[in-house]
Amino acid sequence: MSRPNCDLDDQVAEKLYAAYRSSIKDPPYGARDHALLRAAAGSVPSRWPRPLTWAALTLMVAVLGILIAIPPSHVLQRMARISAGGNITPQGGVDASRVAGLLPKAGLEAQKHELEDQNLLRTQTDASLKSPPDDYLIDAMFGPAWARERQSAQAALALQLSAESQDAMLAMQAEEIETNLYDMTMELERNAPRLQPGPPSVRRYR
Amino acid sequence: MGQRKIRGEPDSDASLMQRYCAGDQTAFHILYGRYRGPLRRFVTRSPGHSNEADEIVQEVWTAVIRGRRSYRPLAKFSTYLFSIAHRRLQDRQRRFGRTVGSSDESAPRPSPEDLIDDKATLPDTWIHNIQLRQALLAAIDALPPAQREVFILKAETDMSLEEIAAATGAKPETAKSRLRYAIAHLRVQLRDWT
Repeated sequence: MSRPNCDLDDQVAEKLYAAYRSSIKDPPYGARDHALLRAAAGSVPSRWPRPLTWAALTLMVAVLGILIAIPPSHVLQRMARISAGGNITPQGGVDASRVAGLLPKAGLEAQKHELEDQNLLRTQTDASLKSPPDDYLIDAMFGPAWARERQSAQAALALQLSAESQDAMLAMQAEEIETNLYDMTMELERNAPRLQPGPPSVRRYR
Repeated sequence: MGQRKIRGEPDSDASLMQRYCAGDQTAFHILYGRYRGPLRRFVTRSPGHSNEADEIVQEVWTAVIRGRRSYRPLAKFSTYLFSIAHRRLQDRQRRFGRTVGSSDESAPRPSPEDLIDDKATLPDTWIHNIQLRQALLAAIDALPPAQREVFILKAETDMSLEEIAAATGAKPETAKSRLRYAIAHLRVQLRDWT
């Protein structure tokens, strides 16, 4: 084929286009057309619920499920651990050895000691709360009259205990003296035949 | 194709597509009605795909529906639509081993019922028109595939040669020369009817 003339008659071209367009008629809508239109309608996003609403609902259900499955105290403790980067001990204290790795090197020891002191203070406070109450705490709670009455009662009790202990000691001493006398008497009787008859005063004594 | 309004007008292709993306199903119905025939004819007259035309057309529209979120009115909707169709046809050709230049012997010849009735009152005139249209379609089918593609796009749409080149992946000068060769070839084939 020879190279076409560059000055092509546009009218001829337009007639060819028009003849082509008018050659084949469009078939009526069929099953494929209706299926496509249904697909297009079905793929249109609905107005509600929006994706954000779905996400919020899903999150709410998930949180409810977790709260039902795990006691809230455990959840709070776990959340505290997570927020502290896992540096909370199971007893609620701060794990200084773990925190030490996270702190900057400057002032590291000081902050570590501070945390240890806090832990020690917490331990002492816990121990003091768990120990039996001291008298001064009760006196402070019930006032000076109560304290005076308690002190006088304690003094009377001490006196009573002292008197009883003195009586017991005297009784023990008397019993010991009597035992010694008895031993001496028995010793004298065993040696009596070898003694010369003595004055009657000795016999009376026996 | 004077029914396609300029981009930016309320019922232009781009605004209809944007309305569809916003959830207006009626906009898609209008758009589908505008391009249903041209797209089907474009695919039907492509080489080697006359028997699969309905399936390919459905794939193209499905791609439009699925890709509506990423659609940006940077080019004409017709360029967007026919570039999808062009890629689908090329995919088919690669998949089934058909070359672009191969002729399609199985291309259906339109029956007189498929041709537009021009309400000719005289039987001789009616027969003449029918035969002329059949000859025109036969001449179009005899075109080399690349020339046929450019001619059909130019006849069916309001795309410029630059847009046709963009849709077919060719250079504008290449598309222009293909169109010239196609028209010259058709003039030769139809010279007995003039």
